[in-house]
Amino acid sequence: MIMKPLFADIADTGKQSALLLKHMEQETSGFSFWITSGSKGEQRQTASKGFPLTSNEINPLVSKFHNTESASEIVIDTNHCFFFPIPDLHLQLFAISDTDGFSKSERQNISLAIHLFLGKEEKNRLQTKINIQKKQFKRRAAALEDKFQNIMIENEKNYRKIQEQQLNYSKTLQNEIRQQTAELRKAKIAAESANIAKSEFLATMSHEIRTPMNGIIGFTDMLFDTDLDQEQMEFAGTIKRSGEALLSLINDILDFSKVEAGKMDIEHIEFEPKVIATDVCELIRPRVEKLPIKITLSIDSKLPVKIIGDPGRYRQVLINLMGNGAKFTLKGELELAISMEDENADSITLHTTVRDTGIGIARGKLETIFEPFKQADGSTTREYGGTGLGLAICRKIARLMDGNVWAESEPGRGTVFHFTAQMKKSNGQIRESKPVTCLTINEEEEKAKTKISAKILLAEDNPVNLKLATLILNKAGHKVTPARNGRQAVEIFTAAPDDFDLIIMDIQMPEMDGLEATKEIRKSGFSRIPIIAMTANAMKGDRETCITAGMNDYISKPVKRELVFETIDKWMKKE
Amino acid sequence: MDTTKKLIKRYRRGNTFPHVVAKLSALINDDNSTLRDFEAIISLDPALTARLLTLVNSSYYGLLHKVDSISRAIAMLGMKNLHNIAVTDALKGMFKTGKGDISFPVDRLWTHSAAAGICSKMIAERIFSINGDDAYLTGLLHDIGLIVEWQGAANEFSTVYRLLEPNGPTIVKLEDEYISTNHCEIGYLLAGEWAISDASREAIRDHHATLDSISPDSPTGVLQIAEYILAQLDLTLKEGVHYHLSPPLISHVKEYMDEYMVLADELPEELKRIQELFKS
Repeated sequence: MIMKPLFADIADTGKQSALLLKHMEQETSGFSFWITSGSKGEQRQTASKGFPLTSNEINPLVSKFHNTESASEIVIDTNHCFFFPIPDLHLQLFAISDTDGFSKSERQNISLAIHLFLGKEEKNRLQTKINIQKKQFKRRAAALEDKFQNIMIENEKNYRKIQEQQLNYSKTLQNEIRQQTAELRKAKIAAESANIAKSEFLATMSHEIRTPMNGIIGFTDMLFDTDLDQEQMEFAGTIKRSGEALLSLINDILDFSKVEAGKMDIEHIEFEPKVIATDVCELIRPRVEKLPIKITLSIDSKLPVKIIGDPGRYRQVLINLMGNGAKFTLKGELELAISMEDENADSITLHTTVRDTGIGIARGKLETIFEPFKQADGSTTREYGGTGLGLAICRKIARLMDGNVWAESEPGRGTVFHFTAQMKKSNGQIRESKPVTCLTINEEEEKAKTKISAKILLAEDNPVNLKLATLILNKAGHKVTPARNGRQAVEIFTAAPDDFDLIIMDIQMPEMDGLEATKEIRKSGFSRIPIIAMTANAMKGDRETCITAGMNDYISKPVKRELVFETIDKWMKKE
Repeated sequence: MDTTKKLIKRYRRGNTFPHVVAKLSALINDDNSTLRDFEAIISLDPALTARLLTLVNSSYYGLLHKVDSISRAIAMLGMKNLHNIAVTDALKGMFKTGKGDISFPVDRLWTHSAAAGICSKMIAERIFSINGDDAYLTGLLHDIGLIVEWQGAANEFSTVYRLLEPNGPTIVKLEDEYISTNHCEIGYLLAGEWAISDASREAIRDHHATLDSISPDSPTGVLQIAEYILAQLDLTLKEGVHYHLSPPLISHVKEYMDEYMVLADELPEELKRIQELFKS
């Protein structure tokens, strides 16, 4: 089948017919030609000048040979006509010889001329195609080049926009950070001043509370020395226990706020852990006296007798842990054990354990109990009392000693509290030769029998405390001269310094406080007279402040009789 | 016009032109958009992301390095190009979701659409030396109205298709008679919803119109010439159906006959490549 040519509906095929006619006339002689082009029905003709046949004569032939693909000879009247189909160009060619008939060579000539034309046409076509392809390639390259440029521009634009967005973003972020930082700073300052206010409030409160507590506990003690009937004895006992409970609560809160405020310092002085452990056992014993509980103490034989650390805080932790054990144990054992866990050139790690056979602690609560104001169980407070601060303080103290406090327990069978602390080694230490196990510690040490009667100047602004202290000291055989404030104390003492062996001075007093008064006295040249501070100030650095002011010793309120006597004895003996 | 809207509405109920592609079209026309926005939208459709990356990395685009992110693909090929790939992908999906009605050879329409896209692009680039991306999109979408008719008014459309004959009335005449609207109007409206540029939409509307004044290198001119060439190569909707070119374009094609011959010669090869690309 002959393919319909592309664009045939609009293509101008006449042009090609004219070219072919011209070519045939040039390449051959003695022939005239008739060429038809186009498809059936819309054919066009081109003919040599003087072509002997008319359209009417040739048209039937055109129709007849329309689909013929081979050359053939036709005779019309006397004319010998030859038909050549040219399917490649969709043309039909009719040739008529000027002479009679066609020789074989003439036919060949015409055929060759047609082939030559086809060849030329093909060559031209290919040439044109190559040229066009080149042209189109160039145009396409230009378009792509353009497109590439646009993509580059687009990419650059993108890059710029993204950069801009990022810049804006970072600006926004910076602003936000700046704003938040400012807010945080403000909040921090507010929180800090609130914290300072809290600490100051606590210190003041503790002072304010301790002073009347001093009166309550002291006078209750005094009350015991008077004639009381059974009922009165019980009432007085209750007052004393309640006072002591309140005091310990205040101490706990104060300690805790000290640690929180970072104001708790750890001392580094020489002490004997064994002595402290023994003391603690002794202190706890009365609490379990009525229960079937055995208190035992065991101390590692390798442990040095003396070490350097903070005996007060160490003791505090032991009292807390032992007190805790006593609180939750109804029968069985309460064991305090001290061992040496680690040792190097100048320090040791003290590992103290307190084991009880009490109610125990559920596994999930083993850490909770160390959080402030948390106990193993909400009902614990109701049943066993306590503030829920003790263990939190213990852990904080242990941390300050580069150690830790933790618990192991089996509910119903008991608990073991572990307490580790780093201590410094003492020079010239002696080691205990054999482990000490004290089942009962009642070897009451014989105190110095010789009573010393001292002449004491007592400066105290609180009339209750003044009266109490005077009573206590008088009972112990001391002679007391009272002073209502620092100025009075200085005046009385400087007027007759030989009348006094010792001065006991409150720190906070109206007109002239204890520190100021001490400075005055020392300035006046009285350097030998011992001055002992007696204060409810319990915040950090009190002892240092007193010593710096020229005082010799320090008794914290509420005062315990024994401690006062001991201190007085100590300084009188030195005298 | 009412019928047009009704048909589009009915069509939309059963089919959705992917949301993502419509959003991309909006971005293309937004001067403030960046390739990040483009990437963000494409990333919403992981399947599309994967398909696009596969397409971009195929030998068709002949990129030297493997592209592993949409933003990189955009940097290499341009936003328009990537948008075109996404639209082609979406359109291919629309042709697939046909109801399997054998009275309309949807494959033939897909080939015709793809060929119109390719041919328009070739004309733009090779004859007029202009960027062929818009021409490609216009060509690809020009007969989208037929899909809407086919799915929204199946019976009437079957009649139209059956009556469409080589020397019979034009498809637009038949559509107007039996469906009271035509695919040119529908395509024009639908393309508006997809944020296709106005010039492209007008080309879709006028691709069967006989215009007395038309510039050959306009989108409409390019699309009409492409339609004419496809008719010559029998890449039409129905075998033997003629395409009537606007008179100014006839003289233009006559003038550049040789050029268009060469172009038509090379079209089947290009078409094969693009069909190969979107085969899966």
